[in-house]
Amino acid sequence: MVICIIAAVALGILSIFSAKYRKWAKEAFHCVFRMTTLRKCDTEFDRKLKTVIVSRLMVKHSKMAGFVHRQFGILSWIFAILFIFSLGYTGLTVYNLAVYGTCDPVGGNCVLTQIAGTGTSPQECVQADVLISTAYFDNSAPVLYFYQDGCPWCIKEATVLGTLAKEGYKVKPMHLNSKPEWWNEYNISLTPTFIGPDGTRMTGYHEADLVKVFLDKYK
Amino acid sequence: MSKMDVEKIRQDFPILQKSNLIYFDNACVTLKPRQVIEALNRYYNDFPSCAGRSSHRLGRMVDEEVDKAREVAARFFNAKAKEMIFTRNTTEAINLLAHTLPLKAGDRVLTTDKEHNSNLVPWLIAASTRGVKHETVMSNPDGTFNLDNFRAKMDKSTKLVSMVYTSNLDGVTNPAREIIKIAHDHGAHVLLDAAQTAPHRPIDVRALDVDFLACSGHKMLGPSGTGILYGKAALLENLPHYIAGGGTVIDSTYESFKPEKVPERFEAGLQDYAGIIGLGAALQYLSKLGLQNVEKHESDLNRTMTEGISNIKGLSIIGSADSSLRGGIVSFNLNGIDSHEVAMLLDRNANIAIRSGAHCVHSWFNAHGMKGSARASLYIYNTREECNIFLEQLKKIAALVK
Repeated sequence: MVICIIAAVALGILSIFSAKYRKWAKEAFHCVFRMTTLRKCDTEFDRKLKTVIVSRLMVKHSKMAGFVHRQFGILSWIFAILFIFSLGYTGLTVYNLAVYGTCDPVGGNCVLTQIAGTGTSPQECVQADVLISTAYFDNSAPVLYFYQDGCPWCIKEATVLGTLAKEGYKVKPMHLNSKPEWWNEYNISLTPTFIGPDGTRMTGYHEADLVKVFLDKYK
Repeated sequence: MSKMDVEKIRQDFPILQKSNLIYFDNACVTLKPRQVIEALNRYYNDFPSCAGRSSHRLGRMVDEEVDKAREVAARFFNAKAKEMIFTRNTTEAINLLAHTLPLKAGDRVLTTDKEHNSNLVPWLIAASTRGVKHETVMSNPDGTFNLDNFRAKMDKSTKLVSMVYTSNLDGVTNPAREIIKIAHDHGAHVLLDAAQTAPHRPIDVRALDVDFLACSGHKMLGPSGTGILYGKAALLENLPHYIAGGGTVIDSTYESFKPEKVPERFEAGLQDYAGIIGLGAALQYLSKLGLQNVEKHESDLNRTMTEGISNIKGLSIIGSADSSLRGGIVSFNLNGIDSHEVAMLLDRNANIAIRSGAHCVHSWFNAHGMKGSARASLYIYNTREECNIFLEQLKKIAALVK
């Protein structure tokens, strides 16, 4: 019965594009509704799905078909849990893309931004590091600035810091790629991150006015 | 094997020529030969008009064709033409009688424990609305009819015995001749639900002395939406209208009407002339083959099926182990697999069409604590090779639960 959850989502999406899936999607949603109200699915939809899957396997691999037929309940649960987990992860990815411009703000390994061409090339990173290291950093500055290679929001923040540097604002460079132990030591979860001498944090990309307010506190 | 040339028969069925379909759902609906399809087309192409009303040439042609179909049907059952009422199906035929027979409160109607809903629900309704007493005659454990139980149920208050002739559940044919004799001895009339008998074995209503008999066209090569109700003329003439309207009265005033004679009295409104003509063609087709040959062919195939099935572990047949008692029906269950799954797997893997579920005999399955069964039902165009493919597929499905 739990397989209906997967079917409801998949068929729900397909039915947006094709009417032929709408009846199935309706049946799947009906089953999910019955399940959430602790009643048995009365349309046999789960059984139909099982039969479709088993019949395809029977043609190619009869032993596998038998296994799936016997363990369909357990397999359904496994797939449903994986499905819900991957759905949650996809949601997080979309959120990161929208908020930080990368699906992996911590590691910087976002395939989507690389495919879309919005990611940062190694050359750009090197360039950015040069820009950052020469223009805005001061090892005696009170505010720690954590950044890493391949992080597009760090590059964007560099432009902001460049503007502020002309007004005398400086930050202490904390290059995470050089010292990965800082991730744990300073409990960094994403970049860029600013940490003041009193431990106050400002995480993620911020425009110049907000960065200025933060740095002004420790001038 | 039987005298029928199955390969030649198969050539008459367009769907069998253009696909590798193995059709084992004949107890539900049979396939249609081109002779029937052509008869339907002939009506729509050549004389798409009214019967019994219009005096023009097309109208007369419809009259002639419908009369011809009625004559064919009468010969098919050894009855008179006026005793053959065209209905939409067996269900309508039984409902016609349930609504028009002069049953009053306290009168008893007997049915068996294996009735299709069509021959159960009308009597349950009659019981709840008119006070008719409905009782059930239980079968033997192997599904065969229990004459002792039947005799024990008969008394003077029993006015009608409405029984399935051949069960669509397990294929068992009830001993109609004995049942009718016992019923008549007690002054009761007998209605036989012959939906699963008429397509498969010869029926002589005169020899049986049955009072009423109902069957469906779509189960005997005919078009969907066609059926026949046979009734002894003397009994039919005393029945009132079921559905009244056009074609059912000779004359009417603002205050009264004069009913038509039978069978027209029971054929209200414009009829499915194409269907009736198609049904006539179907009955001609079957008559030409010979119902004895049809019966033998199905029995031979069922033997093959039953022998094969008995070698499959976990598979149990509903009804008698003796295939000769089950006509062309093999109703079975496979341990660990729902009947709907069996039907779907056969369909998807080998293009085999069978029926699954309760087959409209929910009452029997409920009484036996079962959800349903898979049912393969055979007919004139089925072959031994098809049975073997079916058995091979069943073995594969059975292996899923090993």
